[in-house]
Formats: sequence, structure tokens, C-alpha cells
Amino acid sequence: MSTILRPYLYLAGGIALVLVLNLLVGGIGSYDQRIVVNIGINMILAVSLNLVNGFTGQFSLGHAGFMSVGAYASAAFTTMVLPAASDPMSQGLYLIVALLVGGLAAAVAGLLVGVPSLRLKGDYLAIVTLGFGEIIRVILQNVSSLGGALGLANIPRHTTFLWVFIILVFVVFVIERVIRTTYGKGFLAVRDDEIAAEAMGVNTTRYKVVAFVVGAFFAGIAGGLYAHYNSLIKPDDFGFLKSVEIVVMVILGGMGSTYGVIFAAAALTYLPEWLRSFTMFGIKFSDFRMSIYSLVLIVLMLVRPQGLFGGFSFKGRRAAAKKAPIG
Amino acid sequence: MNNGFKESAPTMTLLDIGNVTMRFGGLTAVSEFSDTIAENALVGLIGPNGAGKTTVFNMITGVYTPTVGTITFESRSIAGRKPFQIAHAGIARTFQNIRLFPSLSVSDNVRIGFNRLARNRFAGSIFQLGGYQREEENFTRETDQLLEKFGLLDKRDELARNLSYGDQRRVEIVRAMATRPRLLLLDEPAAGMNPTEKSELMALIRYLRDAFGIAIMLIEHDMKVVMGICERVTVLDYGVKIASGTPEEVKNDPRVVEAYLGESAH
Repeated sequence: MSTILRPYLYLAGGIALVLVLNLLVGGIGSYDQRIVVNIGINMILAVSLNLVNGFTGQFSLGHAGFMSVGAYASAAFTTMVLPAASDPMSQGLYLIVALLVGGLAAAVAGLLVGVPSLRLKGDYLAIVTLGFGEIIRVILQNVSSLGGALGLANIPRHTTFLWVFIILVFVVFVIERVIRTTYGKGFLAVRDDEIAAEAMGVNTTRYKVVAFVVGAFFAGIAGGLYAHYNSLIKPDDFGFLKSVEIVVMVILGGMGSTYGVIFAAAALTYLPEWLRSFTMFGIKFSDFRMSIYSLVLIVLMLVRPQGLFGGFSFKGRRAAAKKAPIG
Repeated sequence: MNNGFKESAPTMTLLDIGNVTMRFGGLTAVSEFSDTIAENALVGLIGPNGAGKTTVFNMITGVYTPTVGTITFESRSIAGRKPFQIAHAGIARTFQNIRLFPSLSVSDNVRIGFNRLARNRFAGSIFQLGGYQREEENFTRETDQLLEKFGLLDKRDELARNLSYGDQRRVEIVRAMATRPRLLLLDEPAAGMNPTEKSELMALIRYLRDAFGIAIMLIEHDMKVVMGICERVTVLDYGVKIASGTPEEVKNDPRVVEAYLGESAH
């Protein structure tokens, strides 16, 4: 019985934590609040990309592309279809509907890109997904009804701290739960050895497409949250660099470690902001903060190539602990 | 007449390979190869390096589609089907160079064999309603039972990559058995084993055949193993079948001797 309930306890605990933090966030400045919300959105992006890159082992470089599909679809839906909402209740409701629209649009994009390109492996898949991200960006720049290069403006600001982090809790819950089941182990099998997985009866193509579509769905939701927070979205917000940023979070956190990836998303979002105001020995670090950011990445990859939390699993630790006394 | 027919066909043909040819560009790896495997049979596939033995395995398991020819398993054509579909049909295999899932535990490696039976797919795995718990408990119990039969239960939480070589080979066989095959293909199961491990392996293969009622085909270079357990041996050389019969017959076949040792002196 307890094993059935335990995941739900974690879920409830996560939501409770978010509610408590929500009270605290009310007391901080709007600049800091903006950083915190951006951290949350990046966490959703990184955790969802981790399903594709970390758990299923397919190197995708187009996550920002799916994010932009979700952002534009949900923003267009809110501004062009939905009526204006004044009270918080209907704002929340409209946000949920718009996010679902964005998520589904991104999932469809994921299916369209995934089915033909997932027969490719490694670098080739990375290049195809990178190309997809760029194509989306260029298309958005040229669609005048979506604002073209100037972007889509006047999106109602429905996103709040609460929504971002509640959704993050659900995304983590879904992925962490699925990955532990007999079905979910299939993703890990595809990553570890595709040929062996196929020989064991695992439909590897299907798994890759599912990972891609689910990853894109969550990226689309993150994009929707982003759009409804910033109220202005431009195609350049979702460029190649944004994709790389998310990939770096996944690699730095440790491929396939959800909590590592969450930590890395927070650290890498906060670090450049923190360096903005950091001064030591009379040197203002804001002038070369991006150089320091890069330096931190280089050093971390040299010291821990498997990522901060990579190779860390409770089962592995237990097995190692059992072995230790004998040796 | 009728009676005589019944008695002469107590064993059914499980796998029927009919005149398969496999070409890679200009290279013919296997040429017009035919063979049958009866139910509950234990057969060997031997031949010098590069003879095309693993190519035959890869054609049976769907890694390659034969350029020409038919492969029938339990009277259904399987040539050209995808590897996972062939696994579902009831053919499991191990690999020449071990292919476990290195970052998964031993029990999870075996559990993957049950993956196709899991009725809870993505959505079901999120909500975990209905018979979900029972299904997972069944998989866990069956995994443990299999591991126990092969003396690996105490290693179930170890990561596959941390196992010894011999244990990795055994886990690969257990994992294949978890898919509940009717035919098991073993690609050089004795490679890298010492004599003690080899004799244990021979006992294990006989046990698999008898206890699970499956047919086994194995590729092996160690003639002691092949001659010791196989009822029938097929010999390949340069992609062509040069002999087939009992180990005794094959051993004394001049063409086989020639393939292995070169042309005899004048």
C-alpha cells in the first residue's frame, strides 16, 4: 500500500513546497521574481529535454524550436481566439487552455520532425533537429500575422510563479514515474543498446518517437509559459543558442538525472544574473560575466565529464556499498 | 500407412530457412543457404571465421533482410520483419560481443524481456491504475524466479557493467529467456570462457532445452562444446553450406576437414 501511495506523497509534498515558496516569492523584488520564473521555465525545458537526450539517448538540438512552436501557438490562441480575462480565476483557466494548445502544437511538430529523422543517429540527428529549429525561426520571422521579426506583442501576462512551478512538479512527476516502470525501462534500454533492445522485443522507433513527442509537448508548455510571462515573444528568443543552453543544462546536470538537471537549470540561469552584480577586489564582474560562465562550464566538464549528478543512482550506490566491505 | 506417418513426424519443423542469399553490394556473405530447425532441437552452426554464421543469425532475427529467399517460423514468414516483431514471434538471441544494458541493474536487464507484455504504456505508467501493481509484481516475481534458476539472484541489484565476464554471458541468456522464446540463438556463448565455465555452460544449455522445451541453435568455435551437446551440426564456408549431419558425420566429412585445415596433401 505504501509503495502505491508514496509517489503521490512526493507529488503532494512538491505542490505544498511550491505553495510555501509562492508566499515567500511575494516578498521579493520584481527583478528577482523574473529570475525565479525564468529558472522554473528553464527547469521544465531541461527536464523534458532530458527525456530525449538523457533517458532515450537521442541527441536533439532543436528544443528551442519546439518551445517556440508552443509559445507562438499558445500566444496566438490567447490573443486571437480567447476573450480578455480580468479576474485571476478565468486568467488561470485561459492560461491552462492556451498552454495545452501550445503543448499539442509542439507535440505535432515533434511527431512531424521525429518520424522521418529518428532513423538517424548521434551527430546526424543533432544536425537535423538543429536545422528544424532554424527553419521554425526563419518561418516565424516571415509570417507577418505573427508579428514577423518584431515579434508578437501584447500577450496577456497570465503566467505566475505558482503556475510555472506547479507545472514543473507535474512534469517531474510524470517523467520520474514513467521511467521506473517496465514500460519506462524501454527508454533506458534504447539508450544503452538499441540493437539489443530491439532483439528483446522493444519497438525502439516507437520509443524514440514517444520520447520526442512528449519532450516537445512539455517544451511547448514551457514556451506558452514564457510567452504569457514576457508578453512579447520574438523569433530570436528561440534561436540556436537557446537550444544549446538547454542541452548544456542537461549535460551539466548529468544525462538521465532529473534532479541533477533541475539543479543545473537553476545554477546556469542564476549564474549570469548573479555575476551581473558581483564585485571582487574592486573588479566588476559584469563586464566579462559570460566569459566566467563559459569558464565554469569548461572547468566542470573537465572535472566531472559525467555531469554533476551523472552516474548517481540509488541502486548503483547500494550495490557499491554492498561490495565495499568485501574488498 | 497413416500410423507410420504419425510416428515418423513426432517433431515439427520450427524454423525453415529456404534458399536465402545475403549480398552486401558486390559481396555475397551467404549464398543459397537452406536449413531447418525442429522443435526442441539442439543444433550447431559452425565454420571458419567470416563464413557467414552471424549473418545467418542476423537474417533470422531481422537485423538483415535476405536479398533472396524465405524464412518461415512456425509456418509464418518472418523474412523482412523488424527485429522486435521477430522477438515477439518467439525468437530470442544473444550476441557475439555481449550486448547487455550496461547502466541498468541485472534485474532491469531481465525485466526488459517482459517489456512487450506490459499492458500499461505511457499513459498507463503515469496513472498506474487497475491491474498495474499486479502486473509489475508479476514481472518482478518472474524476473526473480528466472534469476534464481540461473544462480544470479544475489546479483540482481548490481549494474550489468560491473559483472564478471561469465556472469554477463549468463545474464544475457537469462534476459533472452525472459522474452519466452520458442527458439534461442546463441552466438558464440563459450567465447572467452575457461574449461570449467565451458562445461558449466554446456550443462546450462542442455538444461535450457529440457526445462523450457525450446529449440536452440548455437554458433561456436569450440569444437568440444559443439560436438559435446549438438545433435546436428551445419557447416558454412564462404557463405555456402558444405555439410550437415550428426557431429560424427560432420567431423569426418572431407569437405569440412578441408575448410578448416586446407587441402589435404597429394
